[in-house]
Formats: sequence, C-alpha cells, structure tokens
Amino acid sequence: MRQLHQGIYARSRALNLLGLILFFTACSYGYADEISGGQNSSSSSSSITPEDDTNDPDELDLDVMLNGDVSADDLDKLLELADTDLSQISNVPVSTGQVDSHIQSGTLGVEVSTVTRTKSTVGKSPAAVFVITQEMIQRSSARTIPDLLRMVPGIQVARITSSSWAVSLRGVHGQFTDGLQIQVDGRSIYNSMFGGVYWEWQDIVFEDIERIEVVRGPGASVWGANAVNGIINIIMKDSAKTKGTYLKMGTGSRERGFANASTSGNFSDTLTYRLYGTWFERETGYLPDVIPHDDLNLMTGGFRTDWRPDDENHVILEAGIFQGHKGTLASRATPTFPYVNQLIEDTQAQGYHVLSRWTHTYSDENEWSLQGYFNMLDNTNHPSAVRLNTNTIELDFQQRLQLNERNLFVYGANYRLADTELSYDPFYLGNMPRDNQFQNFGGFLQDQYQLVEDRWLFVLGTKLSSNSFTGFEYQPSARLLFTPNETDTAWVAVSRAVTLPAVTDRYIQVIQATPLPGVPLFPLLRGSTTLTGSESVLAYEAGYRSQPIPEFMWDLAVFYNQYDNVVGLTDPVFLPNPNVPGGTYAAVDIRNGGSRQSYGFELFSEIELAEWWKLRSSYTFLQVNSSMRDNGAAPNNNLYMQSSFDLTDRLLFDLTWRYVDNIPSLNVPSYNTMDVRLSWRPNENMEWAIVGRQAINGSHFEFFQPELGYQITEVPPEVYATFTWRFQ
Amino acid sequence: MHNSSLTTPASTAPCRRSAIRGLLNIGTLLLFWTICITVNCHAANEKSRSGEYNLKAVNIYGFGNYIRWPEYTKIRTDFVITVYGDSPILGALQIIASKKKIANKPIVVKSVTSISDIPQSEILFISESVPQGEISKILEHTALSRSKPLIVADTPRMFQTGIDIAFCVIEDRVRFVLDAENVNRNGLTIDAKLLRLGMAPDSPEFQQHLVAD
Repeated sequence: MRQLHQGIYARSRALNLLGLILFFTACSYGYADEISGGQNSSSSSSSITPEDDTNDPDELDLDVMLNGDVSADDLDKLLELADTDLSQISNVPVSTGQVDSHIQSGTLGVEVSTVTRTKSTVGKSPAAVFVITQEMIQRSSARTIPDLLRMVPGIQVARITSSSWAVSLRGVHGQFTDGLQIQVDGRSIYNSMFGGVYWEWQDIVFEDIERIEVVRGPGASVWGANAVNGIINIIMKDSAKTKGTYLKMGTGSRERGFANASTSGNFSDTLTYRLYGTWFERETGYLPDVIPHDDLNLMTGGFRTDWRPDDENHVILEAGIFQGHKGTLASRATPTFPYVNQLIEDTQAQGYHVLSRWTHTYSDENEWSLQGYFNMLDNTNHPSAVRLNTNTIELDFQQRLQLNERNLFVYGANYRLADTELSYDPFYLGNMPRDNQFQNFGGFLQDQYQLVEDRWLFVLGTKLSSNSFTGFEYQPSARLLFTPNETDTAWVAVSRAVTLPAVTDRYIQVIQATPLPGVPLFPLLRGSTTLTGSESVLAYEAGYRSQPIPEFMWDLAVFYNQYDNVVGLTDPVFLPNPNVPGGTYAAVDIRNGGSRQSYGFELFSEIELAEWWKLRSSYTFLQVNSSMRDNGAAPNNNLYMQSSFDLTDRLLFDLTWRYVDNIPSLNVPSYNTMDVRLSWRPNENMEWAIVGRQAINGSHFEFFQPELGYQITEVPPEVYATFTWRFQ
Repeated sequence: MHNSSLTTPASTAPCRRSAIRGLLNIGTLLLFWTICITVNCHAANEKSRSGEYNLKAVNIYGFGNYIRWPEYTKIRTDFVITVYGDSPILGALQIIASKKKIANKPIVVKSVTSISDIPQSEILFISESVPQGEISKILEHTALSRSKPLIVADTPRMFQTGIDIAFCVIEDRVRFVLDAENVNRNGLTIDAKLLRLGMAPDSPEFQQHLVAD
C-alpha cells in the first residue's frame, strides 16, 4: 500500500515536473521573443549610423535585433526583393514575415532585364528566358562559358576541339553560326566578319558574374543585329558589390593550370573599382591514333570602375586586354602533288576593349543610358599568314519612360561600325577584299501596356535599321503575358527578325584541300556580292511556367520558326583551276533565297527534394527542315540533369548528366556523359573542389565539320582540382 | 490481491486523498497547459508582429528609393530616419541602415520619445505607442520645420491631415495609404510605381479597412 501510495505521489510529482518543464519551456520560448522585443524597444533613444562599429552587420546580433521567427536572412531576402520590385513586398505574408519561395527562390523571382530592356523578373517575362545565377555557376563543373551554357534548355553546345566550340540556339549548329546576340556587360562579342563568336578568346572571372540571362527566340525588336534566335547576356557585378580579393587556381589532367584573380576596392564613397586577371593553359583534345594539336593558352586582364556622384548618375568605365595562342593542325591545299598538306597553323590573337556607360536615373522606371565601346581583335594564323583584324565601334542610347500608370515606353538608337582588315595568301583565300567596312544604324520603340494591372501585359515594339549591305530592315515583335497569380505565367509572342549578312557571306573565297590526296580537285567556297536582302525569320512562340509549390517549378516553351531568304550553299560547280596544271575547282557558292523551318519545345524543371538536395532537368526537342545544304545540322534531342547535394553545410556534391542526340548529316554520333564535382568549404571564404568531367563512356566527338579544314578532336575524360580563396 | 486490499475500508481514505491529489495535479497541469497555450499564442502574435515590422521597415527603405528628394537633401551627409516612440521596427531599421544606402547616402536611424528631440530627418516614423493627442503636436512641430520629413504612421487609425503615409495590415499583407497631394506639397516627388502601390485616402479599399478595423 505504501508502495502504491508512493507510486501515486511519484507519478503526480512527475506530472508536476513535466508540467513545470513544459510551462517553463513554453514561457521561455514566448518570453524570449518578448525579451528580445524589449531589447528592440530599449534601444530607443539611440542612434545607429553606418560609421558606428556596432553597425557592422557581422558584429550586430541580428537575430536579437530582429526577434521572432524572422532571421537576418529573411530580412536580406526582403531587401533584395524591394530592390528588384517593391510591389512584391505587398505579397509577403505578415504572419511569416518571410519571402515566399514562390516569389524569391531561384526561378520566378529572379531578375531579368534582357527581354524588354527593362527591369523585370523571370515570372513576369513574356519570353522563353533562363537565368544562370551565381549559385548555379559555383555548383557547375564548367571551366568555359560554352560549357556553362550547356545547362540552358534549348541551347546547343558542342566542343569541336580543345580550343573551339559551336554554340547555337533553336537553329543550325556550327562554329560560325550567326543569329545569336551575345553580350558581356553590354558589349557585343560577335565578330562582324562571320557573325559568330571566337569563344576561345573569351575568359571571365566567373565569381564576378552577376548572372547570365539567356533569352531563346528573337529579341531583335529591342536588340537588333543578330538577336534572331536568341540573346546571351552576361551581366557582370557592379564593382561596389565585389569587395575584397578573390583568387581561384587549379590544375588537372587537361587543364594544365589556370588562375583567376579579382580585387575590388574604393577610391572614395562614390568611386569603386575592380581589377581582374585570368590565365589558363589547356591541353589538347584526344584522338586514338594521332597526336592532336589543338591546345589553347589565354591571358586576360582588365578593370571596371563604377562612379556614382549622386543618386541619379552612374558612370561605368571598363577596359580589358587579352592575348592568346591556340594550336591548329590544318589540311591546306597546295599547288603541287599531292595537293594537300597537313600543317601546324597556330593562331596568335590579341585584343582589347574600352567601354563606358552613363546611366541617368530619375526614378525606378524613368532613366536613360548612353554607352559606347571600342573593340579590337587581331587574329593571325602562322605560318599561312592569314590575318584578320577587326575594329568595332558601337554607340547605344536608350531611354525608359513611365508614361502613365499603364504604359512603360522604351526607345533607343544605336550605331555600329565594324572595320575588318584581312591579310592572306591568295592561294588560300582567292580574291577577298582586304578591307571591309560594315555599318549599321537603327532605332527601336517599345511600349509595355498593362491591359489589366498585374494580370495582362501587352508588349509591342519594333526595331528599324539600315545597314551597308541590305539597307532598311524592320524587326517588329508583339508579346502578351498573362499572370493569373504569383505562381503561374503564360505568354505568347510573334516576332520578325533578320540576320544581318556577315562579311564572309559576300566576300569569302576559301580554297580548301582536296578530299582525295593526289587528285587536284579543290573545293572552293565563294561568297556572293549579289546576295539580296537579309535572312529573316517569323517566329511564333508560346510558353507557360509555374511554381505550384515552393519546392517545384517547371517551364515549357514551344516555338515554330519560318525562315525565308535563307543563306546556304549551292551544289558544286566544276571550274578549271588556273594555278594548278590539270586542277579543278569544285565551287560551292553562298546563296540566299532558300527556306527553313525549325520547331520544337524546351522543358525545364527544378525540384527541391530536401533542403540539401535539388534537382534540375531539361529536355529539348528541335527539328530543322531546310531547303539548303544545312539540313538537320542540329541534334533533335537533348537531355540535361543536375543533382546538387549538400552532404553537410561544408561538403557539396554535384552530378551532371547529359544526353545529346546524333547529327546524321554531320556523322556525329549521340553521346551521354556525366560530370562530378565534390567541394569542401572549410569556411565561407575558402573552397577546395575536385571535378571529374566526361566521367562515363570515355572520349567522344561532339561535332564534326570537315569543311572547317582542321583537325577535330574528341572530348576526353578529365579531372581537375581547384582552390578558391576570398579575403578582405 | 491488490484489488481486494483496495476495497478494504482502512485503505479507502488515503486512496481518496491520493485520487484528489491526482485530480488536483491534473488540474494544475491543465492550468499550466492553458497558461502555456496563452503564452504561446502571445508569442506567436509577437512573431507575427515582428514579421509585420520587418515588412514595414523594408517598405520605409523602399519609400526612400521611390521618392525624389529635394535639393537640400542632397547636401546632407546622411539619410536620417527617426522613429518616434517605442517600436519593434527599430531593430529592422538598424540592420537595414547597416547594409543599405538611400539616395546614395548612409542611413542613420534615430529613436526619440519627445517632440523637442526630433532631429532633422528625411523620414519620421510615428509608432502606434504614441497617444493620438501627441501626434497632432508632432505634426504641428514638423510643419514648422524648414525641411519637412516624410511622415509615416504605424497604423491606419493614426492617419490624419499631415500624415503622408500610414501602414495597414490587410489580409495578412502590409499595405499603405498614401496622401500624394500632401507629399507633393512638401516638395517631394513620388515615383509612379509607389503611387500605384499605395492606396488613396478616399479609396473604397482603405475606407472599408478603416470601418472594419
């Protein structure tokens, strides 16, 4: 009985104890908030300024100051949102005080400015747009910009050699593909000689990239020249945002060595700067039976300054230089037996650019900007002594005006002058003019009209321009955006755009090596000065993106492009070669007047399975039908998957798998491969990473284009390690 | 055996006492739980309020960026936000001040509790803890100032002539009523976007909210 009694007492004491524990737990939980709230209040009568030591965000006890559930991170996200779009703040629930991931996380809320040349977000853009954020860049195994672009749905990237790439969008694939507007910090990097980009001479400190905006489909109504199939806009960070020094270096089986460095500071409160430099030496690609010769070395350097004399003006001055060397083993025509010679034809290149941009902001919606830049590129092949020197000047003005509550009007004007000088051996390049000038002048108008506020947006605009080759061009676009709620977006667009002719389309005369050694048959590629008009496209697009739950979003874009007056190649015509006894040219001419259709869709999805595990995947279907000889030069199917694991707070593991379909017309087989990246961050300023690329299925060709006339190599498996250090 | 012993008269009294004690303990526990739930509800309410004040602070930062400030503001070295009265908004504003600038100037947050201490400011936030009668005096005081600040009130009930902006919480969202005419009279220019975000004082939405409040 006594035991029973004691048992009851013991149970009641335990209940009391449990009650008290629960009570104090609950009370302390509740009161902690009140106490910290009290601290907020008790800090009244004080004054905190940025100069105070206690105002250093690293030293402030942020959570105490904020109290409740709301962390300093949440406040940062709110501020970021306010900087992007203040109206979004009114969508944040008071009960949580936290930015809903529908709005802020990764996708729908990411800032975009390329689509309409006004500040917006992915969720409010009436176009197929994808943004590579700094976080994606950090988790990527890419060492080059083309490799970085592989994650973008719809984009076709193929490595031709260790030092050359083919990058295209929704169209014909090739090293010299035009129809893409590619910008780095406002500077177009395509070359007017052939309308494409020398990717091998582009190297950027990835850490200094703010984001990369990729718009698929025409953007010519505001960007004009070359924005036919898409725009890749690499936006660099403001130098005021990159405080301290960043250093990244590494080495590997194919990357012999590389280093990126960037240091930022300020001359005064209103004038900040960033200095940067990059260097790398890349090993050759792989061929089973011969020694390849396609290595690449590049050094770049430069600076950017940002001057804000007051809150309305922002002046950027930046400049950069580069010097590079790439190995090429070329098959060249010779006038004597066997009429073909394999020779090492290395390329030495150098260049520089200077850019300045002045932005005057009256308010968030009213501003103008004036930009000018000069770009010089000198590309010399040795020993064939083919030298291409391109000087480009471009001036650009635009003004944004909020006419009234519903109309946001943007207009601008632009002038581009590209002067190309060519030195060559006539045996290789026939009679190409040695000096060419290409001028393009134009203006654009665009109005964004809110049919129903925050629901229906109609965008109408056109670019009007005139150029040296084809004269007057018009490139209109109409877009309609429907946002039924914060999580869904539907859009449709109809656009017309033109590809301005490249200098090579008119003047190229390349005598190629005979495909049959010993037979004096020389393929001859000839441009035509009688090209009439530009290649134009009428593009019909539609898309839907949705983030039904914070952890999952998907984005679908479908398109149908009808190209007219397509530039392509004629069937060969046989002509005598006066320079070679018994020699014959198989002359292929560049002509326009053809037609092409491309259609397909791009599907992207992102899912956060757990806080530590995120999956991104995309599938692209592309079909190209052409009346010219470029039919089908793009893979029909592309699949990309990336898994990002945070194994711990400091240990990150990324797997990337991709499948690229075959290209029958170029005899390129399909392939699938995987990249693996493991990184360790002992603290927030340091990272060690080891990366394995092409980790499965061994070496493979990604592209094959015999008329390029040089040795194409396989992409082999490789491993490299990096060390990253940031310090003040 | 235990059952039979429990039923014996000799053992009944202590057992009853134990049962009563047990019931008392359960009662105490229930009481504690009630208190706990009450305290937690209060705490949850405080959390919600903390979220509310963070949103209000971020909105104030936004006001700073969406208003074109007069020329005399440009010659000042700092952008001053004054909080009048005790308010949880202070902590969030201080953090914003440590990270951001407005009009390209460092933000300085000051807290005062008496009218005579109000410094020259760009924005004056009046806490809901300030009595209604005192608000009129604050407005009279600032009206005499050569550079009148943008006056932001904590709650819609405080909205009256002289207040430029007053916050409201509608359907779990922080909104605000904006007296554009008053703001313009004081030499400030409001960006069209801010105008679109704010409710007009005579708008049905705001009037309905006032009635419902």
